[in-house]
Amino acid sequence: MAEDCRDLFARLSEYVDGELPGPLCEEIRAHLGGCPACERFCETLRRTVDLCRQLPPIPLPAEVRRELRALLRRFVDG
Amino acid sequence: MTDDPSDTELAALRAGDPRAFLALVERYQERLYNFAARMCRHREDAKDVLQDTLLSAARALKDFRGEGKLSTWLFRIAANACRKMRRRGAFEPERELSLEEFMPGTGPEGQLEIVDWQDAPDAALERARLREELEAAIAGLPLLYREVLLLRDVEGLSTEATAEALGLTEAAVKTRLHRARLFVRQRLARDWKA
Repeated sequence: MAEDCRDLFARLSEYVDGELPGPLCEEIRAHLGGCPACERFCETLRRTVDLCRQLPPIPLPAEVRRELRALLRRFVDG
Repeated sequence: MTDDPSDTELAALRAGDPRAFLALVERYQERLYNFAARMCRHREDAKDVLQDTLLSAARALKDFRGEGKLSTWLFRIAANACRKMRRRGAFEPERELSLEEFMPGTGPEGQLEIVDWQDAPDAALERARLREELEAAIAGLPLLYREVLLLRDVEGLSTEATAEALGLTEAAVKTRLHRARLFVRQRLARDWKA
């Protein structure tokens, strides 16, 4: 991995999240435009984040819900 | 959790109104369970965390000052319950993830692709397989990183709220999140190449 690629590697998540200051963001965008390997890496990182965001919830089992409700009802009823 | 209670609801909660509390439970129980299930990896532990979290919340609500979001406060209690659960449970060695281990070399790593759900030829089957691999990758993360990734990327909390929920600085959240994502990315890339 080239030196300038290493430098941006540590900041890629912040870049993907739009959390970098403007000038640094521009610098990374310019680098990605001229470096297909980093661009590809950044794209797959972005996809990873998208996949996490789309991950379906683990359903709350009905018996856990019932047990919780009974427990909390006993608590609030003192 | 964008649907935080109104000021009126908060006042009722602080006053110990049982109906307001049970409504709060209805509102947040699914997301708290979702977080706990992925943190603990065992359904029984997730159930215990959910119960501990909401009982602790019931006891402490009168002291909730309302400076941050109630949802962040609840996640903070849940994250602490998960950490305690880990200490009680079987020894699971914690390890630090370094940036170096995820840096692509000049070999094929830089070329690896992650198949997107939408790209799959048999969408339903591939989606299920990818979801399974993603769950396994997240479950394989050391806890320090898993809690950050779950709050930021799965539960959708901001960097600031995640830092508040986990008692970390925003810089630490960003560092851990990046490494967690790199870890998951690497697992998915490797699995899909195989």
